[in-house]
Amino acid sequence: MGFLYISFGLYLLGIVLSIRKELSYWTSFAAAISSLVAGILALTKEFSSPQFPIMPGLSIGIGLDKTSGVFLVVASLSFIMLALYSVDFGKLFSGKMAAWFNLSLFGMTLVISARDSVDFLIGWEVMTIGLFLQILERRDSHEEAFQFLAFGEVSAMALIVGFASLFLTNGSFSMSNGVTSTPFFLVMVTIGFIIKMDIFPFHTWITGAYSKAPSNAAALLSAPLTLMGVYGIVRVISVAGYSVWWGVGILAFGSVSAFWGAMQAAAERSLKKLPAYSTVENNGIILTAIGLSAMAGAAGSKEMAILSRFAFLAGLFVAFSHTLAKSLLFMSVGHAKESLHEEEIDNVRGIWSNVGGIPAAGILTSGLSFSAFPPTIGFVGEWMILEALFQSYKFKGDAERLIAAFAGILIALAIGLAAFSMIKLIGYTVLGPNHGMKAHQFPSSRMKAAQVSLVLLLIVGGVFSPYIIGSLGYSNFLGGILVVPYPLLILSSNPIFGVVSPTMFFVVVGFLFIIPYLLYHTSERKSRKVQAWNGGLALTEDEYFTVPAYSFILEYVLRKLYLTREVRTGYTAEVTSKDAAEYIYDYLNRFVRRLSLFTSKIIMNGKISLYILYILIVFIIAFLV
Amino acid sequence: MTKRLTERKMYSTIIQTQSKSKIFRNSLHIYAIDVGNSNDLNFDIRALQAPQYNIHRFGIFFADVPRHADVLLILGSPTKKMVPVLNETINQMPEPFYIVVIENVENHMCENNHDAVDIESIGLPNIAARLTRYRGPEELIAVLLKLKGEWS
Repeated sequence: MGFLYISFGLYLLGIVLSIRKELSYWTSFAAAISSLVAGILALTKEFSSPQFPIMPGLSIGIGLDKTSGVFLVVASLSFIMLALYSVDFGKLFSGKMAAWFNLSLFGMTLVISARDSVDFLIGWEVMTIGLFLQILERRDSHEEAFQFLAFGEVSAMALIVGFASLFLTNGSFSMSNGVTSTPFFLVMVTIGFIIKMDIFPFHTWITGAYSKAPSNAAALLSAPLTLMGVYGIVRVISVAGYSVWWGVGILAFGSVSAFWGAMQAAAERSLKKLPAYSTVENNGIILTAIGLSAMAGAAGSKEMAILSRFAFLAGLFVAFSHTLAKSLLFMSVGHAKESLHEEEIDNVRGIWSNVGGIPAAGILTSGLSFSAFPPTIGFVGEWMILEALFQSYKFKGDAERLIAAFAGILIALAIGLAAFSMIKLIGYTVLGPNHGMKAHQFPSSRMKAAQVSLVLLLIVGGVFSPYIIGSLGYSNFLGGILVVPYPLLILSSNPIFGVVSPTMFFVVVGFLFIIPYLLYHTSERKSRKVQAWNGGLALTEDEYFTVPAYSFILEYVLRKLYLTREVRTGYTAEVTSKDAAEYIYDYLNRFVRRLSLFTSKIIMNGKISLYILYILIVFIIAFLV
Repeated sequence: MTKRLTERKMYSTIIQTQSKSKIFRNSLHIYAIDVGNSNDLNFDIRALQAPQYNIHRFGIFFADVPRHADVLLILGSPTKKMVPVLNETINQMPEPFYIVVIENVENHMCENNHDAVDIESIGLPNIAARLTRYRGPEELIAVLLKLKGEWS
């Protein structure tokens, strides 16, 4: 099991080699491959390094068990592709970027392989700081970077408090099984993790940070970073076990967050903010699945244990599909954005013809995966979560049934709205007409290789998802009926509740699609293409059906939620909508400013007499006590 | 009745259209485009739809866009700026279609306007009739009825 050590060593070497950008990224590529091998090996055999005792109750060591192996494999796949992508993409940015890239990958690998809370927190902080420095890469991104850091540090503080309480109860920093947990620990650690997962209402930093960060850093922020949050939650379950109140809380946070993220993504007009809100939505779905799993697991009966396992599997699948698809989406969007130097979806129409087919295929495939289009891996995950929520009638208590049903409504709405926003992204950027934009070409063969690999991975992962389920150890959810042979059918419960077979879907639809497609292409078409009728004049740029127009109907119908307003400036008017969660932070911001003003003017205003009075009061209190 | 018959005789001898098809027998849709006339033709076109001429009784209608039209009615001699618009309009016409050109001889605007382009130099397709000496809406109705295939 030297692969994990090799991986850590290579990441550190990559930081040193950051003078040569390309070499540094190749080093991180090699390190990620090494960690992938380590993860695959950990699936069959657990591994742990020798423990180095530092103080009583604290001995530092790393190791991988099956859970961390699974997460390491997925994270490493994302790391490999991102490192390969960055070999070309990194040339557009400074050499420091390569060092911070390696640093954050080092931190994330350490988080996954940590066996005790001290290692875990070190990895957590390294990862946060590495990403913070990457967001700082652009000159005008200080505000966004510090917003990210503020939320990251709140998360870290919650984790520190939580782990400290765990140390007080157990007398050790170990995170493995057999540790007794307290509700306080559970609450604090959960808050710490869900802040990292961009869950509503802790998501307001994402729009700024994702759009200002270079795209490879944005992909790291969105995909593997939130995966670390999921990993943390999964670890917490393994320490604390299932409890109903925790499950209900997680379910509520998750479903509201999924709906909120999808709703904001549907109204978003910026190329990188739309994927950012999609991250909120997907992490909400993952959290809902884990919450449902906890609620069902706490019920105790055998039937509910099956539902619990299935919901957990759904959460894992959505997490994996999100990690891969969101890495791909940010890669392709970044490729287009750096080629065209544009921020808005409206201005990057026609990526297919002016930037290239591969970034377009990347946006198309990942967008289809997010809108649950079979047979992509995203379809399997979202089918699973809906099937799990359909089974909420199995709960004994009415309150649990009602809560799970409402979560189901929100998740269904979220999936629908996600499809709406992804159709917007795909339709305008990939399939939209090219308006004569000239793309700035730069060497991008490695970027294209990374994108093609992820496109294939998303489709192949979806088609062979029954085998993935089998290899994760959930083979009781596999079956075969009628013409579908044994492991190709995914069952949502045992006895059968619902079934789907992405493999058979691929085979059947492949035939049904390919033959008509070939016929369509061989036959001669008599249609004539003309532009839209505009009184005989050519259409100008503002006469097309724009992105704001596409989502305006939604913004108007849900105007209470979107806070839709018409803003008039001179003779023009514009419709804007705002994320209501930002008002909380605006209020906090104003409150803190006022408080500091009050403190500096009245309490600590530099008058010596006032300070002497404070000293006297302290003396009096000290004497009395 | 007598007047109608004499007029019919008069117009059917004068007008030469190239219509051979009978697909417009039941209905005919016209799109009129003003490419530079002195506005009197526009009044005539309005009168065609009004009770005075009431061309709807023949199954002839005006379309709002060239995509719905069978006949493109070009009013006047095109000015330079209207040539690309005219070409785009013809590009939008569905097949089969006819073009009827009414050139206003007494067009003072065109006489003074050196922008006017000779209609032959544009090379318009499918010209069914070119009315150089326009006599009034009756003549246009006669042309349209010929295009419909009602008059042989």
